[in-house]
Amino acid sequence: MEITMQDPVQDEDGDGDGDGDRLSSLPDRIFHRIISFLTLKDLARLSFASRRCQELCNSTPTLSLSNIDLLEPDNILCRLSIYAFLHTLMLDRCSHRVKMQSLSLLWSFQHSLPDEENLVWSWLQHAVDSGVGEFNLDFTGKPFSLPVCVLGCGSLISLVVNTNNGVLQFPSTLSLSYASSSKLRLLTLESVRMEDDIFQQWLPSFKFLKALSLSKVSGMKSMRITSSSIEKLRIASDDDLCHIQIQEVEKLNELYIFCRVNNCGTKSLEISAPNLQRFFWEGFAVDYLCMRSSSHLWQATIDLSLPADQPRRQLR
Amino acid sequence: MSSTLCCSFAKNVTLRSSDGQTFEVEEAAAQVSQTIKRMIEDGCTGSVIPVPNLTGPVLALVIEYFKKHSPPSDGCPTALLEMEIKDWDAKFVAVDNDTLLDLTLAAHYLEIQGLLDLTCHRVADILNDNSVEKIREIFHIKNDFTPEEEAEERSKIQWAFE
Repeated sequence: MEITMQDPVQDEDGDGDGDGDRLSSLPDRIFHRIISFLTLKDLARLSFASRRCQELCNSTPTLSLSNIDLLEPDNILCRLSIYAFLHTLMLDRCSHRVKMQSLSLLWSFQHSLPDEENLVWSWLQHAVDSGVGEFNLDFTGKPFSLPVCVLGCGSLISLVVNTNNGVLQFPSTLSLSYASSSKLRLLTLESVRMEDDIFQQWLPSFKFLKALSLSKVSGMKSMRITSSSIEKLRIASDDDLCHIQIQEVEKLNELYIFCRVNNCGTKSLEISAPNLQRFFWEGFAVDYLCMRSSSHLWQATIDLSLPADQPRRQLR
Repeated sequence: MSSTLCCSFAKNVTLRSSDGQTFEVEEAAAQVSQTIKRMIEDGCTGSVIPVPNLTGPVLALVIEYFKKHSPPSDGCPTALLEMEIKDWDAKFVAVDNDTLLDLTLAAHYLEIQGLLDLTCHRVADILNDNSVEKIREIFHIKNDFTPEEEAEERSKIQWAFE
């Protein structure tokens, strides 16, 4: 029978040296998969093993960089040489036009060097230039303003930002036009503090956004979500978010709200989602609820408790 | 019982390794491999499926993996079962490095995502746990840097050796 599998030859790949270095002669895809599990330190050490290893380490499409486990606050020299290493790595990738599928940065700016922020930003820019599809950004120790290049990145599909309760700023609305090139589909903000509602002004510009998840978003008393494209929305907050308005969301079909806002003051929830199918709402009851929901709703789970002061309720 | 009923209907397929050894395995189990699954769907059952990239001993190991990871005939996997499989997986890849790389390649060729993740993770763990010298030794990596280059590279990543 003429059934065979592709990829028949593998081992002898030309540069065979005697008893063969089997690790570096693995197909690039597998090697890259292996190093996607390595920490920065291990990656650096492996790239020192041989030229081939260095080449493979430098060309990985998924780059995950963290300085968290490397930090000794007073060891500036160590910090400098880590940056020098990463800088060379990025330059090498640039000159070889290595594609970047995803970049994860788990970065602490505590005790950071004066120019560190610019350096990290230059990596983001580099990733954008290399066609990045996924950003996973986790920053501590500094307010983070999302660069315009990230928000306008045409290749970016998924963006996850966690500032560990630090302030997250969006660029001024003057740069809103940049978002028109965005193809972003998944946006997740975790443990971020937002001091203004610029986010809400940005949101409608992401024309391809399908899923939005806001977890532990603090700093906003009221939030207004409008988007012509989102299908799935998740809001979780236990801070000071009191008023949620979800409107002009024609495509929204799944909505999850977990709100345990403990401060006093009135709370409200307004939803106008004509195509909502699933609705989950857990947390404290609100004083004012307005739900202009859809005929498509087929699953609703509501589990509410009362905050300390007794609420008045109106239902429309 | 439903399970015996299921077994009496279970179809087998025969896999043949590069060195001509044949193995019979339940069709459902072999479909853990996407490559084999496609072949079965293309109507190759009944015939012998050649697996030219794998030697007999490696194919035998992969079949063990198939059997452990074939979907349970009676519904959902329980948490307990999952834990047991996790333990089993850890033991399964605690093998010598050559076999580990053989399994990695096998997972790649046969498109067994779970096994590929498992083996790649295991290789990464070995890389994590060892010095550069040891890594070179374990995987027969030839150091092709000149002594000057090596000294220079090492000074650049001194932080990674601490």
